[in-house]
Amino acid sequence: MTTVDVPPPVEVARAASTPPTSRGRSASSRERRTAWLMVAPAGLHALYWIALPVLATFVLSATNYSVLAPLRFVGLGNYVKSFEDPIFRISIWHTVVYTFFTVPVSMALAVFLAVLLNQQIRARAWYRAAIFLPQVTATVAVATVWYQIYDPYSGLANKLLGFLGITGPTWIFDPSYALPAVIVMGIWQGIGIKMIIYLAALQSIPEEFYEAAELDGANAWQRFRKITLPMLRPATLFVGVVSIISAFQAFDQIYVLTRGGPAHATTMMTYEVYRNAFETFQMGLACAKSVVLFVFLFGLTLLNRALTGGDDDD
Amino acid sequence: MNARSPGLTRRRLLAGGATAAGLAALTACGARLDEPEAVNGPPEGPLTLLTPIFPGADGKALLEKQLLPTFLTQYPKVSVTVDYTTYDYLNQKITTGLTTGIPADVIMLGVGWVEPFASRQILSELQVPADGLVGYSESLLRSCRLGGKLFALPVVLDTRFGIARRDILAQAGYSRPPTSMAELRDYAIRLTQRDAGGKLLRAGLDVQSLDPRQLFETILFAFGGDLFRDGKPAFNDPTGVAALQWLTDLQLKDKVIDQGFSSPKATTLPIADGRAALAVGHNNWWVTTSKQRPEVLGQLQPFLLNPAKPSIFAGGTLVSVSAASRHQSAAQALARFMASPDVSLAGAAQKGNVPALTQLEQSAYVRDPKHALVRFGLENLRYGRGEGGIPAWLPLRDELLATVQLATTGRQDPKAALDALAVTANTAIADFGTS
Repeated sequence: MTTVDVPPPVEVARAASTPPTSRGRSASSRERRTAWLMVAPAGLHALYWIALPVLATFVLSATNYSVLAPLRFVGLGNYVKSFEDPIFRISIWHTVVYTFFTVPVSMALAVFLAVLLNQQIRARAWYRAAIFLPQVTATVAVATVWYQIYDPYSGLANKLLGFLGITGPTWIFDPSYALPAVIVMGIWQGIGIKMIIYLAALQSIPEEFYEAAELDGANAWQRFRKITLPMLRPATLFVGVVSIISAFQAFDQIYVLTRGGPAHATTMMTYEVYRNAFETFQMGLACAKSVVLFVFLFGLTLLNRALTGGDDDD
Repeated sequence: MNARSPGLTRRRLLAGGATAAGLAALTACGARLDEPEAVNGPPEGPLTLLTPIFPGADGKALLEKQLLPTFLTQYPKVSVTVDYTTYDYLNQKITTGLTTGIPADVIMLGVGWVEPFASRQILSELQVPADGLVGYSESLLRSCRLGGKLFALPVVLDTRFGIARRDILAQAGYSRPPTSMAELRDYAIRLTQRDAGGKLLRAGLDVQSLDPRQLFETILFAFGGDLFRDGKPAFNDPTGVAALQWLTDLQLKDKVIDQGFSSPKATTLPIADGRAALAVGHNNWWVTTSKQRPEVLGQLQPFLLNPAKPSIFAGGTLVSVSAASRHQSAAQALARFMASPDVSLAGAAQKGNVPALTQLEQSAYVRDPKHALVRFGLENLRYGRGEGGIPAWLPLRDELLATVQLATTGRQDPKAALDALAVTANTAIADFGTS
């Protein structure tokens, strides 16, 4: 689920310094109306496409809505059923594991690559573009390529391992390796955008800091640890929370690569919602599971705002 | 903004939001359109047709340029808009159609789907003339009926059965395919080849190129088992457990194939390139084989897995009419047309499938020597067994797939896995009955 901040109308009236004469009140009222009119298209769009579906999801989560059956109110029944469902419980666990591994690892790699690509090296732009490319490639295409890579017999992964004398596993066909395989793909695909954000943050660090540290005799590692890392902290917070939210919404790669299998080994919350809604036609149950996912994401969004200072950026 | 502004208070906003949400929820719950016209009225009006067959530009051209014009000439007051999809997205298409209250007038769906939809009055009973069912196998029509009423007609079929490489069998000294499940296992073990390092060179029996759910069902039917009996799970009875145990042992104990050796998504078939001697396969494998290794097409020999209890898996595409269609007479006419011999044959030929009508056995497509698998499927339709069989089937399809994977990857004992599925099935059946 996505949340969109709709900018409030410009409060022109409050900003006016003139006393509230009747003519002034009339003017401010007109301006207020104009402001609302200007906001209206975006507001209506958000209302129709975001607020209403979210509200409908909450309403339907308390029903037995199944497309095939008449609607009946079931209260919290779908929530109870969700948490009694071992597959949904395991999907929550898989989502947490996926997030736990993809986010920190890809962030660490992104910092490393950003620092490297912030140096004056040849073909720097090409490297940057190459690393960013997976981000702008359709996940379906990426997952299809990784499906070939993970082919146990002809795939690149096991060919490389075979070159090193290691017999590779059967990757996405083995319940023990399927989730790690999906995680590796998630890490690879997520590096690009994080690297770009870190690059932007690195370029905003004043050069004087490094010059002063060098004059004081600090070596490269000390400069990285004492200057670069602390100065990247705001970017790290932002990247971290946004990446966690994004990891919780992982769906395409699961859909294409494993369909949640084998034996539910890679099923995640989003895929479970999809499965209930479109494979088993249990829409009410899918809505309840969506609400659980929404609560997770809402909590993470609040955390993001708390850590990054929300709108208080003045 | 002033929070107390008379124009837009928080309370009004909430009230408006709640009303709108309620309206959206009501809309989402499948509001019916106007009353449908009489079934026996003159066929007229605009129709929509949802089809998972006729894929791609070729399929579109075939349907809209060659087939539908015949129908439209016969019924000039009818127009048809086709909504193309694939089986991967058919669920979504049907769901969104139903939730918005505007399902397609004529819906093509899979075997196993009629019971859930017909039991909820989503499909109309089909009006077929007395001789309209001649040529359909009774086993197929079972998948089209509910409570003695006919809700769908078969169009094209996806059948699954045993396939042997005649040349590989001959090299190993076999003059015929196996004739029992025990013999099949014995053949599979003997025909498996590995190198000195244990790497699999040739699978004795490829049981990985089909969807695991449908593979298990094919094996289950060959063992003489049933998915459901009298509306209750039967897949976990001793026959069902023996079938899954057989499938599991082949892979984990006998090692006639390794995990990941093939998959339903694989673009090449092990049996076509000699990496498998036997397979539980699909009638349309002749299409892949003729692209991959055309010279071995004649070596593919179809066989019944267990002639003592003859069966083949018969899935396929059926055509039905939505109960919400406002043009029932026209929709019924279109459904009958889509199930007619010409459309059935053209649809089957396009995907390498089996036409649903036995009178098409003599067609050039079926008699073509390259299409031995298609011919075998059609000739054995009397042994056809389909999936589903209960109205609560849809929530169980995925679970059956996962159950088979749990057993065949050694994660769970076959009996325990099937017993757990039976518990889920009983809950789904009870839920469906009360909802």
